[in-house]
Amino acid sequence: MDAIKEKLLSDTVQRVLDMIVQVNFPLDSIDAFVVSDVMGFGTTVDEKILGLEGLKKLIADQQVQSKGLDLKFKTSLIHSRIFARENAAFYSYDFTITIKIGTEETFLPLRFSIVFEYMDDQWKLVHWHGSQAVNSEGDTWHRNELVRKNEALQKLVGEKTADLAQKNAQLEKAIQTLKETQDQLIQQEKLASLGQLTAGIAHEIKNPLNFVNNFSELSTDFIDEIEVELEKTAESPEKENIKELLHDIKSNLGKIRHHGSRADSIVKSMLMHSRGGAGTVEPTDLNALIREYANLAFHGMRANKNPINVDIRLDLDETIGLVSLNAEDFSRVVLNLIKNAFDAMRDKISVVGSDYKAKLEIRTMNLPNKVLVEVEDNGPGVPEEIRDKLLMPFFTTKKGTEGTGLGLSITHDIIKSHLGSLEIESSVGEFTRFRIELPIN
Amino acid sequence: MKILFVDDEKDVEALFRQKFRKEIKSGEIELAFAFSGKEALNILGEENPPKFVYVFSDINMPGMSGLELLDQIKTRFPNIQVSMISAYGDSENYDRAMNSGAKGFFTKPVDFERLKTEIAEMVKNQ
Repeated sequence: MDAIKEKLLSDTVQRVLDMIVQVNFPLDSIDAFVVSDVMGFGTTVDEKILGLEGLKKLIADQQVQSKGLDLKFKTSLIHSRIFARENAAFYSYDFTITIKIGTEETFLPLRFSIVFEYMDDQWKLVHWHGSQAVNSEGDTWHRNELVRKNEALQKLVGEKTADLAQKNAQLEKAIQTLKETQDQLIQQEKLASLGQLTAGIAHEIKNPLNFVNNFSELSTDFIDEIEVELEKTAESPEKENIKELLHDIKSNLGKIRHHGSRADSIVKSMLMHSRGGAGTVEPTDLNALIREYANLAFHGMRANKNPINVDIRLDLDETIGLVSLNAEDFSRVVLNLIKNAFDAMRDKISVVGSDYKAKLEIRTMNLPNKVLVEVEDNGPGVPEEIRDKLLMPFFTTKKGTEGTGLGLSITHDIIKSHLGSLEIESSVGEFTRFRIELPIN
Repeated sequence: MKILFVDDEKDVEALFRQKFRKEIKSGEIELAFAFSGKEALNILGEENPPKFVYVFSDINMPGMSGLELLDQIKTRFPNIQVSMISAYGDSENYDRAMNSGAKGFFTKPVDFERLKTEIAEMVKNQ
């Protein structure tokens, strides 16, 4: 190649490099050494330029972005070649940009190839390709890098998903707790109004009942007086008849008074039960309480419709001594559990027949720091699937209006208010055992 | 000695008249009955000063409650003794009555022996 043509080539190469590096490179001078249909690739996806105007815009953008940055460029030629007939040339460079921000220096390693064509006695840029050198040895098609990125992404997605799942579980738990609390509130509200209603009814019954009792008592007293007066009169068959009649009336009044008292005691216990939390926590002879209420429950059951024969066994640990509890409330626990056992065993009798011998066992036991109370029947048992529903208010397995579904719920509430626990163990067809544990402080 | 019973239950009159038959017959006591707080105040206001010595009043009554009646009597006729008779023997009612100057507090059903003793004592002091 002659010297002039070679000089022209090296000048043109230098201008292209200057165009890239210099911040103030004059854009209108580009036309002189670049063909109009120049094509090039930059380092980023959108840097795919076809035509002179595109190149000018790229350089202009670059100049704007470089303003105020402390940039240093270092170019070193890797390879160059002049093509046959000396009408085309190709150069490849390593192109390192150092960007200094504060005291931090960042290196940007680039590769840059340029192709020139000799036309009309001038060398002109026809193609360039800039790319960023990435650190991926032996990874020709960036496959490994992609796999790594993919793995990193999957890991991230996994973490986020786990995070979300955990948050979701927490939310669901919170909703569950809210629902349970809401249910409890509704039940408490229902129970409270039920209690008030019972108390109101009991009071309303109490007043007329007092009249019945008082008037019957008074009339008995009057008959006594009449009898005294009557003795002062002369004997006669009529007098005998009157005396007999008066005796019968007195006996009738006695019966009215007797049954009035019965009704009165029922009303009193209704009032006592509806007055929730009226009693106080006091050291209580728990064994005596169990004996008394087991007896009461049994006789209550025998006096009601469909009485059954039950073998009741009390296995009471006398070493438990006095236990701090609300006797009024806890007597309901004992009554409810025994009554339930009777009802369950009655059902079994109607299914199995008279071969089955109903048996109820109540135990107390002294455990470390707590007292155990067990009420066990050999009734039909509680199927697994309804066991956890048993303590829910208004859940009942009893037919029609036989059960309110409140007994076990109230029982559970009372045990909880004693800071105790209630567990249900059962085997269908064999037994049901309610285990109450009460802490002793 | 004149005693006024206040209760919205009308049968109270028959019951108490029969219970105190002997005392009434002997002229020891004279009973009057009012079936509301308002009626009680009317009866007490008929004479000045009223001849009534003792008022027994129920607490739970429609209209004026027994406790309101107690306050009114204590203001207008401070010399009259008032005792309450109530089915609600809770401490709240009891404390309110006693703090308002009630002489005694009887729960329903009424213990007539206690009531008779209370009245006999009052008769003796007259």
